[in-house]
Amino acid sequence: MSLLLQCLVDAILLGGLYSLMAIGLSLGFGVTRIINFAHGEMIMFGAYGAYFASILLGVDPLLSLPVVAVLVAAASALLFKGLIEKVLDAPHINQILLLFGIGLVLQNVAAILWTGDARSVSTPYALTAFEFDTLLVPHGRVIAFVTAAILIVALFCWLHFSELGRATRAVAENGQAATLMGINVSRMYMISFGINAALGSATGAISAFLLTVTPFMGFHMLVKAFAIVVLGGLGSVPGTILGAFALAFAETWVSYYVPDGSGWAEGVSFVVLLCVLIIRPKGILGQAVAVH
Amino acid sequence: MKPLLSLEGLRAGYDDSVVLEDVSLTVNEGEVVALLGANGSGKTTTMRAVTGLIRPFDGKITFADQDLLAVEPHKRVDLGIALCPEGRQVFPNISVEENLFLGSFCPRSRPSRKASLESVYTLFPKLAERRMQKAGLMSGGEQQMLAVGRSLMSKPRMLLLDEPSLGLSPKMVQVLFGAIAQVAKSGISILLVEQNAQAAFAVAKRGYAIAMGRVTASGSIAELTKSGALQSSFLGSHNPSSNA
Repeated sequence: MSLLLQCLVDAILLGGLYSLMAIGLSLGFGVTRIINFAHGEMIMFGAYGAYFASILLGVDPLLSLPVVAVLVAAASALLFKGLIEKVLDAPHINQILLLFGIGLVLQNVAAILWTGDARSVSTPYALTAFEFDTLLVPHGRVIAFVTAAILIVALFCWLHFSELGRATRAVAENGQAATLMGINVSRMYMISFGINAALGSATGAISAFLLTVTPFMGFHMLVKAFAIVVLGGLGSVPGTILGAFALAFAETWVSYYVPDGSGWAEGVSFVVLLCVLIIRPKGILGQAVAVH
Repeated sequence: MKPLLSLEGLRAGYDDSVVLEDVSLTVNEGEVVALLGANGSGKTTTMRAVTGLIRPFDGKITFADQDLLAVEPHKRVDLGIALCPEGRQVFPNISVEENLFLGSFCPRSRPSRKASLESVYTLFPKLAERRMQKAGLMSGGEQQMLAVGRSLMSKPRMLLLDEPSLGLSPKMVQVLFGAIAQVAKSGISILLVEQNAQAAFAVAKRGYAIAMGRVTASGSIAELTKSGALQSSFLGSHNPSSNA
């Protein structure tokens, strides 16, 4: 019983982080119809940003997070303007290759600049925990969960209660009709790309005190985020959150209950991806995606 | 008097298929003009060229003494041009009221959003009843009301209506054209594309018949009906050698 409870708590805390990790990828697809295969690198740069802020300036990752997010958003918006905007109307395979290529370049730039060494940020809350009888709730994971929840609620409010957020939803539903409303669609694409990158980098900043930071951590997280988004339905925010918790539960369950489970847990996302594509390709809450 | 909107020698289409061969027309301030013609004659393409959804190959579009082709599509709304597109194109998963808010996205119309909303709700009380509903869940007629209302939210000087009667019941067409007549009375210029000529004649004073991408006749509605120009433009009997 106590093992099951521990499993549930761990899964919920992990689900929060996963939601934040995947939501930018999902929203980006909803708006631009492009899957950002370099999303993992946005996470990676966020993690390095938090790491260096902590090592060089002694700033806590939670405090450096907003600055890191803004910097990554600005750089990503420039990247969008300079490269990605040019393939908006190109065949999907060209878009995938470009984004994937950008991801590879960024990974290797990071490896050249900062070596492939695994690093981590030590914070006062990284190794402490709430203890309830046999139940262990690490402070760091609670903080990560709360931060993710705040950011997701903020995103939701922006989408629903701000002028630009509403325009973003309009662009996601019908770009041409949005133009007729006087919305500059290509500018909204850029803004949403920047915001999604900011959400990715925020995930990275939080991961910096939970996981190890390496130049290649992003790919790993991209695969998971991709599985989540496919599971929940591309472009659906509630679907993404549902998918994130589903993957978190599946992984945690495997790592607790399967012999040598913590090794197998990392493979769960691939199994999920495969099953969804076979059984329900549009995801749990997603709409079918038209092939142009 | 200088026309508010004028198209001169417009040639336009998609990729390498030419839909409009040569279209010239004018709409004066406060005037309701009908653009009539059969399916595929180029009416919608004309509307799309004016709003900037497509870029014409050749020709000139002038609106309020400005060269419209030099203005980016999304900025044309700010100049006072609003299109209520064919097939309504409301945002289906967004509420009725938010659809209307989106109609007044442009900076010029945003300050008077509240007043515009009130006047749209007065024009279409049905929309006020449905304000919190997702637009995609409404009937075709209600969606058409929403589409017209949404384009009015930008406080246009010129309203382009593309086939507002398409797929609607006769009763709904009556309601809708009643509202359009009211909009016309308020001084907004209207360019109306219609296949339902009867409905169009009820509000328009002047018209252009278009066939095979060319203007084949123009004049007051009375003149057009008398000359039989409309019948021939709808039947396409004008250019029997063409195989389009």
